[in-house]
Amino acid sequence: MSFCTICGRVAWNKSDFCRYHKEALDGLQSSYELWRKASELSWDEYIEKLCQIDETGRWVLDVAEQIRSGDGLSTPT
Amino acid sequence: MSRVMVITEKPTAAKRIAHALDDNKTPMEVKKRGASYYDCKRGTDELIVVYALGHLFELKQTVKGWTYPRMETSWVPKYEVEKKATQTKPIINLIKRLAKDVDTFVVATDHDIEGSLIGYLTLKYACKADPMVARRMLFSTLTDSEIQNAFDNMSGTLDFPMIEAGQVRHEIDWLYGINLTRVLTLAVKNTAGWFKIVSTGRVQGPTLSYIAEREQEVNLFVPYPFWIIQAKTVHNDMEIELEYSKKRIDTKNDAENIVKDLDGKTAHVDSINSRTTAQQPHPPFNLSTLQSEAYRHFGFKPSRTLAVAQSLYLDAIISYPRTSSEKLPQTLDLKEILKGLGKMKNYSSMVKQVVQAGNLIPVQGKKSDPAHPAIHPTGSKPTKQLTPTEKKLYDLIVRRFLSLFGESAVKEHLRADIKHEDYLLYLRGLRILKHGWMEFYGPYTKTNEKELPDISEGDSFLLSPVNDEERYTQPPSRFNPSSLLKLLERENLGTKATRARIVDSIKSRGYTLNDKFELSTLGYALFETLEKYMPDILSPELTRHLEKEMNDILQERTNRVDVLSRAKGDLLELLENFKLQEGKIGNELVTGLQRYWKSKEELGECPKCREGTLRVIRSSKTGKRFVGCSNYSKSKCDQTFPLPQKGDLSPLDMTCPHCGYQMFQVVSGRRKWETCINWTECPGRKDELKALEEQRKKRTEKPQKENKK
Repeated sequence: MSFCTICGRVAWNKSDFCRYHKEALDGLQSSYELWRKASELSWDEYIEKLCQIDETGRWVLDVAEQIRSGDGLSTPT
Repeated sequence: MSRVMVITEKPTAAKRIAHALDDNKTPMEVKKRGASYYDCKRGTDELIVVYALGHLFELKQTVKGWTYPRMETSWVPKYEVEKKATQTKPIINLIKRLAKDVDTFVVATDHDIEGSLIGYLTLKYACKADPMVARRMLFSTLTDSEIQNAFDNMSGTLDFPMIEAGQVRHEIDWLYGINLTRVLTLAVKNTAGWFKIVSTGRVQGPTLSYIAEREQEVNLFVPYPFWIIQAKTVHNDMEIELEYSKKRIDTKNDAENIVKDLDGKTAHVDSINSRTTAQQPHPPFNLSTLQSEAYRHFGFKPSRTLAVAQSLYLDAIISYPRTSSEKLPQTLDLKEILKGLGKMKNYSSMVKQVVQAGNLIPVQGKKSDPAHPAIHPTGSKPTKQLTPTEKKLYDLIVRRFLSLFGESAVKEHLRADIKHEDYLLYLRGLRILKHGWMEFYGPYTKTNEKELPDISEGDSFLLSPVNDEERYTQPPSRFNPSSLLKLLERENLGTKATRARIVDSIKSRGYTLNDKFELSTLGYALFETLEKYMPDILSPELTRHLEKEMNDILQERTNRVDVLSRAKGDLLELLENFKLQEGKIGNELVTGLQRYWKSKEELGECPKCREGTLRVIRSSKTGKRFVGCSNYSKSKCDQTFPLPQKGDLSPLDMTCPHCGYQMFQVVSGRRKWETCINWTECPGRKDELKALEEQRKKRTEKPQKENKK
């Protein structure tokens, strides 16, 4: 059994994350397109922005910080 | 001459009822061994007015053992179930003794499910009387006239459907609450050997589920950007802020183009439009709207509002508060109430206005309640000095009542349309043309009045500066006590009497963290476990179905025995299913508890050894708590910090801006403050220490002064 690299909960369907952080990652990735259209930010700028905004949900922030720290998660294809 | 026993719900109610029913208004309080009753005369009858203390009898399992399933129960004196309920013993004994020589029993408890059940159980188990021949007084206020009327026109039978519904509610709540809590608690105990009560229940489960779902929405929220346009101008030496016609601009590029096109340009007033609206008074209060309004204006928790309203009711100055009704019946003597209120200094001028206007037909709401009218003042003067809290709530209720007779408020909404080429900007104003009912509701209305500057069509403005500002969409709000209560009401979960308690219990069990109902790690662990293994407990369907069955009992469409039997069958199925997975459930709860305790007790990395973790430790010698390094036991690090000895501690996700040490929050009674673990040495906390020192001084000086006296 593997565990979420962020919170230690049981990992979701062979992912590195639990179901909450996995859902947060999915939301974060799918929202990028709208952000890109709205403000022409690069992926890295987008992640940086999410880390700075108070409105960002806690689980989304956890994932964004992990991406910022450079653990291998990259721009969605 | 016959001897009549009148059973009331509380000592205060007994006193008022005895006073109202005694011919000379001088009932005698007879005190006997820690309890009392009132002796009065009414015509040729001798009345003995006794009181309960809410419920005198509670359910207890008939088969011993702290395990599950436990399905059989019996009603026993409350002091046998609750160690703290010692006051109920002398009361039950006194009622037992007095009931021996009584000819007629009259139940005069509150007219609702709980009140009817309290009267029935007292009759059956304390008086050992036959409930079939007892009589029932029905009233909605404790004023003399209404009580006398209720006594003279009392019902010949008890309201048995209400009693059955109340009984089955207690039985089902007991069955679900006790069995499910034991399921979870024993799962933890059998897995880790810890005894920590992990509770859930028929309504608590779905409530937790609503909170968890909202928490997930907040935590998964990805904000989107949008831009707003801010435009200013100067007119007659006055700076004016204009509103851009489109509230949100979706892209940065569009926002920048608008700014480029408008900044420094001239716009003119194209038209000035006005629209008049009339606003009727709000309907009379029921418990839910009163709780919501009291939270909005005074910050009272719903349970507090209920307790304060109950106290005002017992003083006979407002009607019965546990009501769903937003209607005032035609039989209510409004003139008499207004006459009473007119004698009170604070309300006399308003009452005069109401009477002079001559419109004594109050605005009514939609909701009704067969047992009680909407909450209203009785017009009676308080018999005691009201506390500041009571004063506030009473004022709110009186002003709401007076506002029902007011005329509609008339508002004029003004909008000036300001144009530059195809761009449109607005300037808005709001004028109250007639205050109407708002005058009575006074401080509890928001007018947001805003005068429109002196402008005319064709006037020109220089738009400068014009800027764009980046904003973000907002996550849904977490619940507060009031919004959670409203949700429970909307979803028909619990009753008007139990909802406030459920809202409180979610917090007191540690499932949520603060007034914003942020789910704690323990709350998550419980929610996740129940969601995985017993989703029915979280579903509002199960409890809504039971509520419907209880309602059917009230409507005499079914009966208590059938409903109870079905509920037991469903519960047994759930418990059997659970038993098969006890190990897994235990493991998940234990992991969740470990995470919860860690989050409550760990205060980050040790600043001295940089290896250990700072934890809240309780000294086995002194019992006092302090912060120590986890490496202490290995004799590697002796770092400690003192802690306040009172209050509930929770580590915060931040460091002190003055010294960089970990911050934590202390909640002690109604006080809440944030400080750092280095608080005794921290340069930024000198003021806090000073204040603490002064408080200590005051506390020690007080007893010394009193001793000297």
